[in-house]
Amino acid sequence: MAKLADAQVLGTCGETLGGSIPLLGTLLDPTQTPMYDKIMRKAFLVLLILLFVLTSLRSFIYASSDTAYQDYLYQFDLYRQTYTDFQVAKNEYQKFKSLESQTAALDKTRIMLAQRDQLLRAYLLLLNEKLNENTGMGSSEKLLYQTLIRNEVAFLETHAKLIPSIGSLDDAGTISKQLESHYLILQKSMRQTIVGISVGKLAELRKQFDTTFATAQTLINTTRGAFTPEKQATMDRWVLQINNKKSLYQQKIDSINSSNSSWDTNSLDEMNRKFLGLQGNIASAKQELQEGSSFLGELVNTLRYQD
Amino acid sequence: MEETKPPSPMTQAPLSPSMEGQPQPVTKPSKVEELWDLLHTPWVIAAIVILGIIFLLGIRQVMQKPQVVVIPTPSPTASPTPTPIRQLSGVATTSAFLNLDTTVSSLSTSVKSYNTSDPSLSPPVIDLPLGF
Repeated sequence: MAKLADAQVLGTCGETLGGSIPLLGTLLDPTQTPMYDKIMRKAFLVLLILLFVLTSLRSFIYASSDTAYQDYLYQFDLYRQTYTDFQVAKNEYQKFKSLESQTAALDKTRIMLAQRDQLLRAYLLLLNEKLNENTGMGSSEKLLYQTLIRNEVAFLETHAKLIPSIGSLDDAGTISKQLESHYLILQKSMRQTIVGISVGKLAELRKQFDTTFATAQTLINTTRGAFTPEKQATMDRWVLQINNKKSLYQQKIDSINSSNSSWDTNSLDEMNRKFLGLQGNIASAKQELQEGSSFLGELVNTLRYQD
Repeated sequence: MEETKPPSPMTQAPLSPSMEGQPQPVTKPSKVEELWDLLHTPWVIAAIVILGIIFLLGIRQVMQKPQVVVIPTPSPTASPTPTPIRQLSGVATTSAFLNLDTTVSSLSTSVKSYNTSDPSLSPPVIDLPLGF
């Protein structure tokens, strides 16, 4: 009986899996009908496929930004190496002014310029992955930042295509200046996106906070009669404090969004100063949310005890 | 007028009154004798002995070296103040409250652990001019 069941399963597997799971036949009850066997086998296979797909999808979701970050670090290492090679070649050319040193300097310059574009592109892709993973950001905001990134990636790709055509050191200087003139806009787009990602992450926490607060308010309203008037007054005070924190948080977020939408800066230093200020405001907004959640904990403790 | 003469002073010593037939005064003992007698009473002797013993004990106490008094260091106990037992409300045991408690704890942890300045997102710093 067991041999017969094995042969049957092997025959079926020949069509579907090529006999990869001969053990399956021995696991099934041979006294059951062939129809039952078929259903069980199919269900088992579907479960296996589903499990495989879910596992792959899960690892893909959680690893996409990590992979992008690792790629960015790798590109940065390569850039450092190529930049060092470029500097050595440039120094040799400036020292000897020979044709050989000039050719070497040109080669190293081409490699370094290509790697520079590659590094910036890798960083933009990392930001894009972070945007994709951000669940707190609205779809329109996400689209706006993704458009910014797409434009910058397109610029870098166009710029990278020009590099192989560099025939002299003057050409290299001209091609490099194209990126230099665009660099401020590129950095602005990067910083805007970083601020957007941080605010999106805070919005995600805010959503969680609002849901929890709504649940707490519902519980208070349904069980209000079980507490003394003094206790009820204490709960009302906590609710008021939490609402105050919410409005303070929202004011700060509005201010950050307003400032992030217009970056009228003319230098990188000025841009860095503004970026640091915005990061400080984000930390301050987070502090409001943290205090709000702490008050929520106090409210829960008030509900917990009778006296 | 006839002048009156002042009486002339007596030239003889006045006679002392006769002591015969009257009681003679008793001679009292001197104060030293009285004190001596007093000292021989047993009560006084006992008092003197007791005073002497006290005096000797006092001298002995003074002559001895002062002992160092060791003040015991108070050691902290495991629970110095007992935690007051608070009575749980009727809501505290409901599933809705327990869920809320878990959610609030999770929220607090999430908010605290969020790092606003993610170091992995800091933009790259590159050298732009070629310098030829």
